[in-house]
Amino acid sequence: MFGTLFLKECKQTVKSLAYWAYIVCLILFFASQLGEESWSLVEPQPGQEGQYGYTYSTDETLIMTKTLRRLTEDYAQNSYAAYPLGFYKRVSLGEEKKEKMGDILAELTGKSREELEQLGYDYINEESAFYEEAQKAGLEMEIGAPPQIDLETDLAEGVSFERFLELMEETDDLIGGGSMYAAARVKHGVQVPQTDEGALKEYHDIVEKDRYSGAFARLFCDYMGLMAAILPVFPVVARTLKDKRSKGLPALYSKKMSSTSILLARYLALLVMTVAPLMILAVFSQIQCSMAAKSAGISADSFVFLKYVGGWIFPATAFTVAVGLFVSELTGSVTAILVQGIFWFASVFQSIDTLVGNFGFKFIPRFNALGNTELFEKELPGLIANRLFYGILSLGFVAAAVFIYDWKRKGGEIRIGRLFKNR
Amino acid sequence: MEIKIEHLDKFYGKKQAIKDLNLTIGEGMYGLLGTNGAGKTTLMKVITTLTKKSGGEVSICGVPVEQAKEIRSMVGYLPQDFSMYGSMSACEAMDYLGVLSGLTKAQRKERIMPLLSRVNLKEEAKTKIRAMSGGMRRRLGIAQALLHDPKVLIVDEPTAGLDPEERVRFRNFLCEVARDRIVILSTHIVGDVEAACEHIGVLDKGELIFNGTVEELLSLADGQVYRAEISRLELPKVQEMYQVTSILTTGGTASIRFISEEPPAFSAEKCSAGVEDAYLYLMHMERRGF
Amino acid sequence: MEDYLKIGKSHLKHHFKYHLLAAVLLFCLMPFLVSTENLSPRETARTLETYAALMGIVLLVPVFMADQDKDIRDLVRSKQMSLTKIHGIRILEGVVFLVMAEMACIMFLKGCECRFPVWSYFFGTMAGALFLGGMGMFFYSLTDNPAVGYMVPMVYYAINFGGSRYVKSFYLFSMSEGNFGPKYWLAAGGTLFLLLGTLWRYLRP
Repeated sequence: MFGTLFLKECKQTVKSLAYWAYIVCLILFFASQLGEESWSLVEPQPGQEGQYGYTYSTDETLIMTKTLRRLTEDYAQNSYAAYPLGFYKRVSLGEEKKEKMGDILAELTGKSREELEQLGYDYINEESAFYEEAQKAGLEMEIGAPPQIDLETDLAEGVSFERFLELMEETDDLIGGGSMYAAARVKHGVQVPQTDEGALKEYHDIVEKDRYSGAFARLFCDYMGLMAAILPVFPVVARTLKDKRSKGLPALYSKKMSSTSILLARYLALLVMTVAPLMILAVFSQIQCSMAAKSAGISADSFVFLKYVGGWIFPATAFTVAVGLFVSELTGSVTAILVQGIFWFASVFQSIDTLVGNFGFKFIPRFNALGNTELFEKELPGLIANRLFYGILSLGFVAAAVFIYDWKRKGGEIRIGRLFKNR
Repeated sequence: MEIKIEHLDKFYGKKQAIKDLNLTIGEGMYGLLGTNGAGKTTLMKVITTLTKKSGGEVSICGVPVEQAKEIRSMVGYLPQDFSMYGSMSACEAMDYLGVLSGLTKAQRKERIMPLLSRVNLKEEAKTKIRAMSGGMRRRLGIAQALLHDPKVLIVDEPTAGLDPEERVRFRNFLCEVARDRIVILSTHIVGDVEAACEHIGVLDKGELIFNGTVEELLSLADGQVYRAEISRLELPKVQEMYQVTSILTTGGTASIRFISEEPPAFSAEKCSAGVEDAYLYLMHMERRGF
Repeated sequence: MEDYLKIGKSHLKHHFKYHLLAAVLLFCLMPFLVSTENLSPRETARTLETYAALMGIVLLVPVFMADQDKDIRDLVRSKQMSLTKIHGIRILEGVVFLVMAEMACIMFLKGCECRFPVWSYFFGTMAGALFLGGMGMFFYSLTDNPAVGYMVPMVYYAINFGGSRYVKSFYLFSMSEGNFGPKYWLAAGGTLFLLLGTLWRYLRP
């Protein structure tokens, strides 16, 4: 019985326009982001430094000098980047806190307060000179590149990494927490240009640890995860509204089948149908990737795409479909699109400044890099916890949707934020 | 004042919904009968400019339907399923639709309340449409259709879903309205037409198979309607042989009305034809290919 | 004129208010979701292009939502005033509120001590919003399906995160890269979308 209902729901989905639009949108996005990907990897030859792009270094001296330079710049501008809720925000300090920040900088650089003050003036002067010039040159200049002002500050002798971290923790407190100076974030590493040596190690990591295709699978999940976090809501809303628009709800409600079976069948059908095209795209990419690996003489892991999609994208889809089902049952309107839309935008913005790793409980975990295997392996447990969390949350939303459906079926009424006219 | 339809054709893709229809409708109530899917709604939509015709000419009082704006100011339309934005009250909906009909503020103010009270909705003027019953909504529908005092009123299946009492009231109201305008009433309920209309048209599969007065329709079946009392056991056999138009069973016997061109084989009594008999007779003949 | 106002007012009261509420919500979330304080011209452009332009989707897509119900649509069409005129009024209403919403965002950023040229940035933001909103409205009209109407511009927006490679002159985030050229294309494209969407509804109501 349940199986028949499930198949019928699948058929309903296939017949809906929104579902086909969903597939077209997925393919368009895939083509635009990954369409030109060759899925092949070349062993780096020495002597190409500066062309590899960036990687993360956990070298202590490098972390200290880079972080200090950034802090000095922020201090001169009195403007610090922070992510209190995970979202990028700029913070300016009041006089008292600014003074304390000066003390920290003084200890780190060994410069006097006056020298630091002078540094700030210099910065402001150079900056305003830049903008004056820009104003003369007209708009195009003004919205052009920001000023590149070099502030020469070096770490004072004898500052240990431990002491540095302590001071960074203090800095973070002054800014109000969640800044990029928090010790945990500082320890995460700093972005540095990749070296010959590093590039080669990276390559071997990808070949050995990722068995070639794993790194590409991550890239696939990074991009397609963006879509899996929003697109499935559209066919879901279309499906629920169809019930309403058909004006056949009373007839549906009066049937024998339990609410749990009806909604569960619908949920599973929508989930399977929305995940299916993602799986097909994954298999398509896997085949290309495996062939590229073969021609490089490496045997790739043939199921790694499906594994990654199952663990990474599937929970996102499950959550999106569940929320869509719940909100559209609750409101009987397109509100679900709005709700999931806002959540999606918030999630996109939340991870827009940390595109590689740092998963936390972000709904859209990003790992926008090919390789970086070591970093990924280090953060994998976090990702697993994150995905389990959303998987469990999905179940909660499905249960809530069943409850609402049953409530309406028994004659209950819900009237909040209906966007459609109702009769 | 008349509606003139000449050689009207309407296609939906390859399917022909109306075939070469010729018809002139004058003042008073005109009943349009036909089974579901006979093309009634399509015809009304062509007259109200909601659907473009595929061929032929249709004009109202000499104005061709191509001049949509002028036609719309002459026509009031109550669709099969009248509904309006649920969050509007009866009064608000009337006012809004009045604006769309090009009425001035003074005209709207002058007409809305009297019309609402005429359809017995004065008390419900502030009720939201979503809270109205089917009957109330239908009455609001007729009020909005009359708001701009149209020369032509077109009502599609007006009594479907109304209780018997409301149905009678609604018919009477339509008769009253029809005194100085053309009212086209489309329905598949013969009783509606019988009670209210002088002229009747019968549509079947997009063709007009009858057009005339009620008397003319009745005369078609005259002398061919019989009444008989038979055993219930015989009923299936009789139904196979004749077009049975009504059955009333009491205990083991069934008293039936049926149509037969020749005197039947069993004892039966001739009786005068009703509109329902005549309509069923007509459909019966049509199906047999006459 | 009075009639047109009445139609606009009725739309606002019975349908549009929910969408307006969503726009207000979006505006209120701005300081939490994107950086708004003390920004350089480039950073301001980024906030406006990636965030404020989304108002277009919220305010322009629902033009046809009021007559989503076929029966209501037929009834309204049977009246003297043409449905196309009503749609025109609603689009105008949407655009007016869009201008107000974008202006509110810009004023807010100005108040947060961001440095940027107000009018050219206003135009740039409006261009993006018109394009996204017009696109959604057009696809809604084409498919008579609100879900598709919202989905298409959102996917287009997401595609733009990958850079201007595929979208060329219709790149949404050009202002924050110092290029104003695509804004003219976006404004023209958005207007065209709105016209075509209305035209399609006129031809196939």
